[in-house]
Amino acid sequence: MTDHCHIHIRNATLAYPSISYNALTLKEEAFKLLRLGKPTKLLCDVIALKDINLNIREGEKIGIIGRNGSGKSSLLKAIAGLYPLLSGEIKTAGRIRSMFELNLGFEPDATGRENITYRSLLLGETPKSINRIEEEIIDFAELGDFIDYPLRTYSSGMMIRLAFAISTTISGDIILLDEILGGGDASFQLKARSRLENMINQAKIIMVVSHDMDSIRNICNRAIYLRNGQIVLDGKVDTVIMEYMNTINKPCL
Amino acid sequence: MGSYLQKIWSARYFFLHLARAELRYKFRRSKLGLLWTMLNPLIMTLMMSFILGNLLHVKMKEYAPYIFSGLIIWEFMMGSVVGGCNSLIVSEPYIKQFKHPFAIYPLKTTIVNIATFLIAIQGLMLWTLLTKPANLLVSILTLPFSTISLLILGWPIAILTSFTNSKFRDFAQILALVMQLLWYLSPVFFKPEMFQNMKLAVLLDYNPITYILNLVRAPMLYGQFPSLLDFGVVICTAVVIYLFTVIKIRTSEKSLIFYL
Repeated sequence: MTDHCHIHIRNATLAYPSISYNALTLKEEAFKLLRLGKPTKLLCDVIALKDINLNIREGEKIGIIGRNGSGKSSLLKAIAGLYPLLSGEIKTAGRIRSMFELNLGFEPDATGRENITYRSLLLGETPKSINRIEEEIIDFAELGDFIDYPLRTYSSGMMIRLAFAISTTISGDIILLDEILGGGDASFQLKARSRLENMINQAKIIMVVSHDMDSIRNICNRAIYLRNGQIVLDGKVDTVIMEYMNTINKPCL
Repeated sequence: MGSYLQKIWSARYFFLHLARAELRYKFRRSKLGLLWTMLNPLIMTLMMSFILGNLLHVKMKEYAPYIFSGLIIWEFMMGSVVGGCNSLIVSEPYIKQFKHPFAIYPLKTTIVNIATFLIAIQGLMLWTLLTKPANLLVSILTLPFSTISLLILGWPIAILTSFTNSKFRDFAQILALVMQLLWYLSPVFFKPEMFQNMKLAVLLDYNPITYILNLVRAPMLYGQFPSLLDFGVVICTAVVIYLFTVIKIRTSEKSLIFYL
């Protein structure tokens, strides 16, 4: 049986090609050609994901855990279609909403209100639908008059609140969250949690990258443990978290 | 390609908003704001026509609109070719957030350039109204066609330069020099007759910029419709550039994000 929304990943390998960061200047190239001076050390391709196989069906809420650099964010970005795969394929059905680095794509000179428009349009909303959600976002972010001030006047907490409010108001079938669970003061955290739950209940598939195991326990019904771009364990949340906590306390392999 | 265009269409609110915002923010906190778009070439024209007019012994009244029209078309070309170079690089935060077709970012730049052109040309319209009111009707009638021609020419140029410059960052520098050379070989400020005694004159016939300039000059300055040749050359140039652009998008859009 096929679901309406799904993510099928087959033998996916994602590499960041070294050619993009090994760029030599003409001088270095000439020196290399003439074998003068120390040879510039060339960096290798970074393999972010190695041969990943994954099937995700409607209703699954997946927490992705692992150490820094294990490929968690790369996995989300590959699913969002941002990065091309070296080999393998990713097939998705459903409207994808991705929330990666929250501060990225904000315009510091524009007001909070204008930034709501920017980001909502970026994520695929229309002016009509933005009219509908704008007040809701402003209410939730509790920015008061600051909403008409340029973003450069905001404190970092206010920025996070605005970003969070926008991201959680825009709905989608498949939601990809990268470390956006924290932020704001204690009272906001509480509000944020209930709002997140609300969004999670509406979405058909959720994938969350987080280092906060409690959030993963609260939100997810399946967890994936990544290490060096490979899936170490995939299964029940508690089991996977336990395994991760056990290995993380041992020295790095 | 059909689905690519469809994705561009569905991102229309986004890139139109970006274009609008860029126009607004370009003159943020400036007293005259958007008016500079018209004032700048106008004042530049006065300076140039005073100096060149004296130097080359041409009547300023005739020469000024020639320079003005050359200036705003040239600004458009520079905006597409050199300005286009950075359109992907500056959009990196958006590109890394959401998968839109990359072509929308050079399109945004082109829309800004077109808007600038349309504002600046009001100055020329005003001049026409004051000095040769008979030419005004033809000018207004041809403006939509020349604007569309500029749009379908400027967009693929900006795509090509932005894609190339993202990978090969020296490209913008080289292009600026090439454009400088092209400026000398095009009748932007200099009238074609000034080239006549030189061997260079033949280059003007093979230079698409000559025909692009005619699109605006024929109606505004001489009260004529641009010739079919003018439109033909511009459209043919656009088609040729389009073919290169399609190839460029097919071969390099996928991996371009690694270079941003």
